Amino acid sequence: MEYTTDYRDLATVLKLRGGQDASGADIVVTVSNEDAIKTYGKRMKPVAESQWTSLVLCQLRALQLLANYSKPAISITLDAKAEVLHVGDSVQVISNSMEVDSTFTVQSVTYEYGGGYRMTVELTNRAVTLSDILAAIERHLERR
Amino acid sequence: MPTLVRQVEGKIYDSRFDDLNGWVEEEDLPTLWAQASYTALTDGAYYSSPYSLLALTKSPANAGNVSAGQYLRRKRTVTIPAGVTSVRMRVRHRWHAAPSTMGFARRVRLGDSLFLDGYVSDAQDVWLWKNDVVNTSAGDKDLRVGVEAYTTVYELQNNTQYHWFDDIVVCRSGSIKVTNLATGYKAKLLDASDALIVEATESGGTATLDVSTNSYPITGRFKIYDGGNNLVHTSELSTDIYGGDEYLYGESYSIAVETDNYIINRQGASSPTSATVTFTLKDEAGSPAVGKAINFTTSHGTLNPTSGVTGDDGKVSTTLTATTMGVAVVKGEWPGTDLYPRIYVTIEVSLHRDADSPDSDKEYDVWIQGRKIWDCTATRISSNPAEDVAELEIPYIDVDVKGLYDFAIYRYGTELFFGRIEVLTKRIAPTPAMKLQGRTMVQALMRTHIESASFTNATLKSIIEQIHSQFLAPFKQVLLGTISQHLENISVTLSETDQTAYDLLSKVAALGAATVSVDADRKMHVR
Repeated sequence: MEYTTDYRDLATVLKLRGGQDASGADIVVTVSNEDAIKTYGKRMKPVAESQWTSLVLCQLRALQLLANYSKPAISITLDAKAEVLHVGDSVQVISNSMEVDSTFTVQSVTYEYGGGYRMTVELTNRAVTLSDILAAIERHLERR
Repeated sequence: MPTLVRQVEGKIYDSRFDDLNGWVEEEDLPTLWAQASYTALTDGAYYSSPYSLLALTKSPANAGNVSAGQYLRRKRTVTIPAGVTSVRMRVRHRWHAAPSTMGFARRVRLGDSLFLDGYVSDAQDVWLWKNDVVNTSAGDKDLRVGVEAYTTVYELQNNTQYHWFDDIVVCRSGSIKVTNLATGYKAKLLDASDALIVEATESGGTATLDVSTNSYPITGRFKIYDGGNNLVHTSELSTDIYGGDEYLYGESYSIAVETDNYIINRQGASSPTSATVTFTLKDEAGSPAVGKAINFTTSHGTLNPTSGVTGDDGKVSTTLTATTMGVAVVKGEWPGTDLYPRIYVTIEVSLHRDADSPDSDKEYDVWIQGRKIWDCTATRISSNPAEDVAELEIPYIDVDVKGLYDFAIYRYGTELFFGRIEVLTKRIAPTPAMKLQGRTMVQALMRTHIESASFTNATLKSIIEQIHSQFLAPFKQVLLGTISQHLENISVTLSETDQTAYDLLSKVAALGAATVSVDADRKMHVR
């Protein structure tokens, strides 16, 4: 099992420059995560995505990006034997030696044949698939 | 322009039970019952993606009876802020019995107060909400979630009862306040699609929005209207709005920070062993704010003092020391007044074990956060025009090595590389090992944001010096190195917004056919 923590994209303040709204005004949104700032300080990430042409969509996109970037990206690669995991599944990982007890999403599954059968699963703490996003939306609607 | 700033955070505790960090199990059941019953995360309950907390009680054969009052639950500590005498709590819960019901009630307690008391008379196999005010007091309280026998539960082999819990929230109250509003002003809370959630007109300067029936956190944003119903302010969309939040609408002060050292060593090691961090507070007109109390906090080490009052120049300082290595995020916060919102700023200081002492006889010598690494199985440095990347491999798992620590590589005593650990990989099989990767401090330029900068008929050299002194020097992570002399011969007028320091410096450098780099001594060169 390999446990990787990646801080390269870490950001606690995100400034998203979107496109222009119907009146031709530039849309710029800044969002921050105070809990992450306490831990990592203010780390700015400017992003430009011109396809967002309404303030609300731009703000939602900025929050979505910040939710991903405000914590280090964690990926776990492990060998597995059963063909029970699929991309998008949630997996709880508990390892005392790695000091991990959290939930991850299956990012990829690799099968190797010949010279013995091997299955490798890659897990991540970031939303990676459409089903993750749909699950989040479903959960949000259900909570209302 | 007035802004809307949250002065008081309503959230006290919030969990979706997608992990059990901080929760411990409490069990008081007859032995055989205890062996068959448990609490755990489960994804088996509908509409609870991805997990909820399950408390499962099961009767094995010859298990005996469970007495009233015996329980199976999870417990954690929740800190109730000073001055709070009651909180609003919410939780989602459901249950299922197979084959027959048992006298276990779903119960949630905060300290001595019983919040949820869900009997088997509740509807089965549907999520139910409990939302109510709970009396409490300031300090650490035990939050308990699980089941308790409310009557004698008789053994019946394999009889099982499932109890799920999800989305538990403890917050200050069921209302949100917006203060410092002029007469006739109105505050509205709207959801992400701009649909109105709730609105209120000020009374005595405060608009009180009733969100007692909403689920938390609320995703939305605030709009402020004047007495003529004209929109005067729209806040950014937020995903963490809770009951009990208090926002202040007013003009904002500004606060800046600088340190005399980016790297200090632990106490008792080589100098420097302290960093003086200075905060400068200015009022809405940009003049020094005198006589204002600033509170200091740090994520690592010790600050002395922990608060101070700004002098005639608006400045106030504190000193950071530490006995262990780490990375300190030092925060200075002015709490604001009834008219002015709170404001804060942070700065990073790297706390090393000691000054590096590289071995001049060794071909490669690696130091992480001022601590020598004795067994590096591989050391690799790759350079390209944009960045230098170093990789290390250690044939064991060193628990003292953490992400964002500084690391330096020396060759025969000469520093080849200095950067921060950005990728950290631990492997436990087939043999334990660690792999580290990091880039030079050029990364500090890439995460420094410059909101706006204007230069009129200035030489490229002076622009670069101004960018460094204004945006980089206060943090001491990147020092000023060589700026090619020929950049003094070119003058430009430049105005830029929303740039990283690296992008702006690169743009200026490119006008003189130069490039930006940061060396192993953390010195920035433009040449």
